[in-house]
Amino acid sequence: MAAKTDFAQCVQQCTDRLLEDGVGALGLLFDLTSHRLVRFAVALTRHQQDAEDAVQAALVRVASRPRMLGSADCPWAYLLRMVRNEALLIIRRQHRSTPVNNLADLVTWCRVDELEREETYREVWSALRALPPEQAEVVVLKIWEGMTFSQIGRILDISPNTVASRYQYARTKLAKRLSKQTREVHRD
Amino acid sequence: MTDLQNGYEPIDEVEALVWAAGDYVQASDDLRPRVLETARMQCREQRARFYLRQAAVLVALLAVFTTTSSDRMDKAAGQQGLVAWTGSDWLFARAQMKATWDGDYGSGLVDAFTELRSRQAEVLRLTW
Repeated sequence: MAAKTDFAQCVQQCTDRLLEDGVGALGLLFDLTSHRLVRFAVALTRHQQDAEDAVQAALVRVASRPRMLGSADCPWAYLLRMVRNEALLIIRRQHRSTPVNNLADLVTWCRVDELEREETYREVWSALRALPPEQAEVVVLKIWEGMTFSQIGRILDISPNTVASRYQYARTKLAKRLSKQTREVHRD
Repeated sequence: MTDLQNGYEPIDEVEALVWAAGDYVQASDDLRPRVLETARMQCREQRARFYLRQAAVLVALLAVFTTTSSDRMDKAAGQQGLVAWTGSDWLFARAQMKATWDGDYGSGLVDAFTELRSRQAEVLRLTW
């Protein structure tokens, strides 16, 4: 990843600390990345518990072999890849079916001043859950992680064109499902 | 709407809606202690396995060293033709032999034992 974002640089610093201090510095890496990793894994596994299991497996592996992460060009991209691999393993093992519109298993949080928007957030997550995992992961990496198609392609081991086409399909589906919310945004 | 952390700027309403819902799903409260505890346990196990492996290598090296030393001692003893007298059988046989000459088994045993000690001392002197 040529131009590292601020966040990727923070992950790099945490990785350096992990290499120096060992498992004691894992807490820093956890605090920095857990939310994003869980969000990414939830989009893939569509289940909070499975997502957390994937994140836990990846971080525990990082703690036992920090050099693996330290030797990566971009530790943040490497970490996302590790979580993705763990999530895919869990998906293959569990075959769990989760109702798209039921977000009961998710641990959610909404700022007090955004409570009126909670319904929209729920719709977004329901729409995201309805996407195939390979499209959902592209959406997460593009919109929430702010990555380019080429960066995403490197994480997912696919070409930037494939990433772009998956993203377009996903965006179309999301637009269809979220049409009511977008109309409300226009009205506001 | 701009994500200052990543420099990402949603280009339309759909992207803006999705972007805004980014913090809605969180990690559960027990994930942090669970991850840290499991990681610590795994590191402890890893360290224990490492020390066990080191100990096993040390024991193996000691075994090889002991076998080699014992071989060297046997070889030295063999050169002197003294291998046969290292056992207790030899001691009693020797005592029996002396007893048939002297008629006293006790003094034969003492003589045989004294002879054995002096031969052992000789072998040790040759070996080391």
